[in-house]
Amino acid sequence: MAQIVMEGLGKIYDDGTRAVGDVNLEIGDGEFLVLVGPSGCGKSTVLRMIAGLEDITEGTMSIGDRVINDVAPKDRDIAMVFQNYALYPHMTVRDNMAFGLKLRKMKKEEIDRRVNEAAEILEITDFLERRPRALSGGQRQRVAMGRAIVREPAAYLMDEPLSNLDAKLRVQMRAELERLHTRLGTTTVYVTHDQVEAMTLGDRVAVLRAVSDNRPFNLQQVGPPAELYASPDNLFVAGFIGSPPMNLTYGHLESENGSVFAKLPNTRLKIDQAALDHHPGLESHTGQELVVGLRPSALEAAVVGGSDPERSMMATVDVTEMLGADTYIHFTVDRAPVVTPDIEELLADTGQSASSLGDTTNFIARVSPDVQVRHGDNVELVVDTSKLHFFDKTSGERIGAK
Amino acid sequence: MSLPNLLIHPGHPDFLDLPWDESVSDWEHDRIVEMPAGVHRHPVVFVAYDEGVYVVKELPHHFAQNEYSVLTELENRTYRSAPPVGLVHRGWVDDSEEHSAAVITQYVTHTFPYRRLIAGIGFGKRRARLLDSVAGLLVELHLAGCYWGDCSLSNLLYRYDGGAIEAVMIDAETSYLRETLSDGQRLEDLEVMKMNLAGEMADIAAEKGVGIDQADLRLGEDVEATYLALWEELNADLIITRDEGFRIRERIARLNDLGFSVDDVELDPTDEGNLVQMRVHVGNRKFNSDRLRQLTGLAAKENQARLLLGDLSYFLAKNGYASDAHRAVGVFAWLSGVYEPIVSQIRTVWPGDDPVQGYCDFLHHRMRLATERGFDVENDEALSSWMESGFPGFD
Ligand SMILES: Nc1ncnc2c1ncn2[C@@H]1O[C@H](COP(=O)(O)OP(=O)(O)O)[C@@H](O)[C@H]1O
Ligand SMILES: Nc1ncnc2c1ncn2[C@@H]1O[C@H](COP(=O)(O)OP(=O)(O)O)[C@@H](O)[C@H]1O
Ligand SMILES: [Mg+2]
Ligand SMILES: [Mg+2]
Repeated sequence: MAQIVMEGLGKIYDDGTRAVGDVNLEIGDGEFLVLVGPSGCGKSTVLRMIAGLEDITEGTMSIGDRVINDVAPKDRDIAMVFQNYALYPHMTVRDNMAFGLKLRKMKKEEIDRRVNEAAEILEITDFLERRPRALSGGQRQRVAMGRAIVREPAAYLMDEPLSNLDAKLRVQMRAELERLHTRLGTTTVYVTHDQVEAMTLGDRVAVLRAVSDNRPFNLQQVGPPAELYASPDNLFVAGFIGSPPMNLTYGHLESENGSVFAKLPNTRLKIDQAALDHHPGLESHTGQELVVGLRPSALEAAVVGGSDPERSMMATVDVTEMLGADTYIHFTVDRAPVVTPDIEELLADTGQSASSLGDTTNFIARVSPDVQVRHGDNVELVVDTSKLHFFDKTSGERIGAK
Repeated sequence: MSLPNLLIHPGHPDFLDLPWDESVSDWEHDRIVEMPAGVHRHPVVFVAYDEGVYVVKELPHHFAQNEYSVLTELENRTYRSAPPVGLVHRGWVDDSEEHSAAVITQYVTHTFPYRRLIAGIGFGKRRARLLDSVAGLLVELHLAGCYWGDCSLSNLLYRYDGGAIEAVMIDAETSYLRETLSDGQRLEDLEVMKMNLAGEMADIAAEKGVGIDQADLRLGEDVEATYLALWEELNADLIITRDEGFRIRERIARLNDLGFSVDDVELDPTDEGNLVQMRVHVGNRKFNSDRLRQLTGLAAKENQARLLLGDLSYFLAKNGYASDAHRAVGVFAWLSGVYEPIVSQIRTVWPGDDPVQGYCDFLHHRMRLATERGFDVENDEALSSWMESGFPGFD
């Protein structure tokens, strides 16, 4: 087991494409780290540099306490999981897992120990002396995984391992991977473009973004899922993490009788002291136009009888989506959508463009399933103002340190 | 019946008469023919048309698309991969489903699967040729910028090529192409190959009822050693002195002999005034087959071509056609007086399916007779002897 450290890591491909710039990242021993970001942001390139498939053109990569820039893939002590999982029909499950070790001339007792242990973890002990034919699809996949496990590598690398599975199997395999990681405790680097997958699997999540001329680095933010969700460092992370995504609109701060208010298209919200404490330095932006973010979960339908207008916004229901545990209320606010370079990049990833957005902004509120509203109803939504997010509208950077 | 999206290379049938709305494993159709197939994961069927026999392999769209595009691009870079013919996409099936897509390739003729190569007696001799063929193919793919990612005995087809065995790549699901591969990519491809070969050899042992310990697990390592030696030979930078121009010619001749054409030779001065660094850029491994085609119009595999060219040179020298001025006449004399009459006889009596290989087997026999006797043997006599001895080949 080992930690993986990247310092000033960069990659320029032979054709001159800069795929990776200035990645500084420490992956702890035993940690499950997910690299996530839109397609083309450099995730696979970073992973393939760890694996030794792509030459490192800048910076250093270490595994354990060894710099591995020039070490051959097989000597890096890592395993790419889910590569090809041919199972050999005439061999027992045991031999299917063991032959690779035999090839490496390992002693029989050690091979037996490792195979038995892996089988235990994978819950296939009862099948060890059977042939693959006798196994179900899922069990076969475990045997294939067993082949990687018996190597006892310092780290596992996985590049979108579940992307070719159908939705149901994907959820099942995700749970299986989680369970395995808990049992094995081996450092794992996992690549996905699916932020839901990233948030459910990762001990920590690193959000990457394609490099550009004025931003020659990929890494946007690294942290535990809850931290990325609660305190995104910029609009890119804010817009990428979370489903449904964070509601964003323009607004500005006003100060009146010692209180601070956020003026938004549909409302004027009082920012209480707790929220101000949460965003040190926020007040110095009073009067400037900012981007204000509000997660759907920070909005709740008011109970009948009205509440404090300084803490709520009125909405005319467009559509309601009932999902069982939650209900989503879709509504619009009277202001053209926020468009910044960060947002444009995220739109491009889903095949949209800023010009097609229209002149109102769609918002979503995640409310209790008890709320019964329909298209055209007016509803008062209470805002948890301690959960407002503020961003600089030019740079996209978060305003107020955590 | 729903019709899929079909992308078909020109010059082939449109395949529209096949029952595309069913999964390939359920197909029952007049076009389907039985052919020997190796171990495989995906459903595969062989279908016969006037244009020839084709292979339909069903697999998830993502893999199908990758395989099709790699094979298509490889066709322009090497000559040792299955010729792609079509990509089939059944838009009404989820793309991750096994039967969402299919790749059609041309059936590679005159080939046999690895089990026939390894099974039975005499694998000892064939083993060395197997090493050469797998290592040679990997070198060639790597020179062409192709990372295979799944080199195994069952992802190759084999055919006799003169005294050698030629390996043809058929399964490119996991492959990708680059301008040039990194060392890491090449080495990792070798790791995959070693693991796959060990698994296949262990499986053969298990099938025979013997333990892994008895399996030929070293096969992959031996392929690797062969690969590394060949790679070194092709890519080594040699330092020569200014007056050693002959070493450049020597090196080119050696590479040509191995079948590689040399695109250009790069000579760079070194800090030491009198020394020059030489590096060669090698092209395809079809130097001899290209040359044979140029001289005679005959199509042959690389090693067959080398043997045929040897026979041709011998004929030209012996009959006084060696000078440039007489060569064209001599080539014609060889074709019409030697090669064609013998090949047409071979066609009528030889049990094999590739007459050029029959001619090579005959040449080999002629050589063996001459060595035994210590003097040249005439073609007529050698041919009758070869036929009477039951058409011995190279084994
Ligand atoms: N072999 C290559 N040669 C040149 N550019 C490449 C190569 N591979 C990837 N790229 C480019 O590098 C960037 C990052 O790619 P990649 O690491 O595959 O991203 P991701 O895995 O996040 O989709 C992209 O712009 C991509 O086009
Ligand atoms: N172009 C071809 N010519 C002849 N036989 C082929 C061809 N393509 C595939 N086959 C046969 O089908 C088998 C399976 O093909 P392969 O591409 O390896 O499928 P899989 O992905 O299922 O392993 C091979 O072992 C071979 O016998
Ligand atoms: Mg990728
Ligand atoms: Mg195959």
